[in-house]
Amino acid sequence: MIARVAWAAVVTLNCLTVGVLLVPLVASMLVSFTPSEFIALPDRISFRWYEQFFSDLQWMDALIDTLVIAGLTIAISFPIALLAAIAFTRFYLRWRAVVNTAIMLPLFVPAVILGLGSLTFHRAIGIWGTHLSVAIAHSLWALPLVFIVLKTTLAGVDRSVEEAAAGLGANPLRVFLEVTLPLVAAGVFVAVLFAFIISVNEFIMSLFLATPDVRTLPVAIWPQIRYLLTPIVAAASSVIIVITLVMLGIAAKLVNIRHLVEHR
Amino acid sequence: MSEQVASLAIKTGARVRARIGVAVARASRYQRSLLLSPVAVFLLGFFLFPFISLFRVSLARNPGGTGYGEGTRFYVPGTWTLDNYLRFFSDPYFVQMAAFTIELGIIVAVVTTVVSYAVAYQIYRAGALLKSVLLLVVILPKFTNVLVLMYGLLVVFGSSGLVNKFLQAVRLVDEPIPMLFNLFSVVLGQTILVLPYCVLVIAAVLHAIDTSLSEAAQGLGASRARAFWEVTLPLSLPAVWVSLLLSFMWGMGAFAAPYLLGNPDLYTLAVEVDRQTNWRLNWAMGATVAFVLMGTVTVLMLAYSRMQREGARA
Repeated sequence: MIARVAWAAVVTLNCLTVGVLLVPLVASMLVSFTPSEFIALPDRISFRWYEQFFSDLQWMDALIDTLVIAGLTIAISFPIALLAAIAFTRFYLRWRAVVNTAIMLPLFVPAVILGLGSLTFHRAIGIWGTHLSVAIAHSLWALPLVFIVLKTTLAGVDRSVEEAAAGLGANPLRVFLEVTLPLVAAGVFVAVLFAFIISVNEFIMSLFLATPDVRTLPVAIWPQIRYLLTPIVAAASSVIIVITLVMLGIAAKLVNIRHLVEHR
Repeated sequence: MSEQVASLAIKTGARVRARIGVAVARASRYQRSLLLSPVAVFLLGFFLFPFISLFRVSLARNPGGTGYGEGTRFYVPGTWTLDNYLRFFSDPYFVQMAAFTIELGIIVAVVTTVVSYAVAYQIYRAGALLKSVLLLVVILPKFTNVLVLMYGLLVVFGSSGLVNKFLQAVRLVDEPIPMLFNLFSVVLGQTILVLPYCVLVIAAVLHAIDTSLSEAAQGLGASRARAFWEVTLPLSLPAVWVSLLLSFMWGMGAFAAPYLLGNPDLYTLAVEVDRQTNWRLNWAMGATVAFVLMGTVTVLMLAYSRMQREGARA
């Protein structure tokens, strides 16, 4: 009896939680199709805010900057994380726990601190105001996540297959490229997606590192959202949501989402 | 008999493997350092150095004045002073802000952990389809933009937002209910941002608990509620501690939620870092506030893990 009441309470709470998680996303997507000047649910579908978004050079610049920075973030974090993940799964490491903690640490540092720290340092070494500067900051968060994914996938590879290839005379590089890599292709893809998604959506570090010439989409949204709440923000948001959802959909096709919590 | 043989074979195999492992380790020491050096260089160069740089700037004299344009200095290079820290701790404005930041961290930690446990428990009990759907819903916000979420909340809960319009349309209320720009909306916003991690942590630990333990308790006559209370919950407590820690840490770092969904009384240290740096162009003070935030988070986390360790021993 108590169990049934408690369970009902839990389910009710969860319905509320799911609602609060989903409704804002759905609402901002709906609002983006409004024909009205103001935030309102559309009475008919209109693409005027999308037209405005895609014809405005400032928004387009921000979109391009966002994609360039995301590409750079992948280019920085993926190779570094891959090499580290190989070291972790194929070699004996004495300082394993320490290195692991060091790699994960940036995830637990408030973004304002990483942002302002990067700003002062990047300015001192003269890379401030470049796409690279923002991408390096994004890599601080992308790297740990890419590393976890790659480490998990590489650890799942049957070592005897690699040993067999090596035994047949392949050198380590060839074993990796021709045996290991094809086996972990899905994991590699997911890792790259993680880096991409992190970078596209990161906002606080970007805010600190942005300059008028290098501005990501979230940074361009920021003043709009604070001062003038026009539906164009909804259109800009929806563009980000669609990019992310497409990526996430591809990822979900490749890996079973339940493996996040279930242990095999 | 065959089991013994099998276990012997496994043990021998493990021993051989371990010996091969050691040999490989000796042979490949330089390969190993080659593999790890990029990550070491990256972390030193772009994580540690910015930290040091930030600390250095917090000890510089502030520029004075807030002139924009060419020649603006964000701090005075080459100067050493503790003035920024002294100002922080003597000015009630900053001290109260620090106190509120801690308070917000605690509230967010408790709310997020309770909600996360409920969601995680249903994920644990759910069938395959519902489980995937719930997990997707939970991690979706983590993969969407912070600002998109905050904008959505403004759209839904604002005074001319969808909820209020609906309530007015059905004549439930005449005046819009103010749901935003108060502590409620800040906690709500921050909880959404932190929730995904906590749900994953708790759900992962719940899934690792052997279901037969709870079944055994029920077989011995315990009610379902009692089986949960005395078996499942205690076994999942480590996840609860981790969830509290994570959400407290990220709650203290709250930025977008208090900025967009709060009011100046609900601004946190992270917000102040932005206001000092990007508005007042006083990087020295911004860096000081950032360092106090970092220090507070670190000290409280250490205190928490120590408390918990002693609690576990008692």
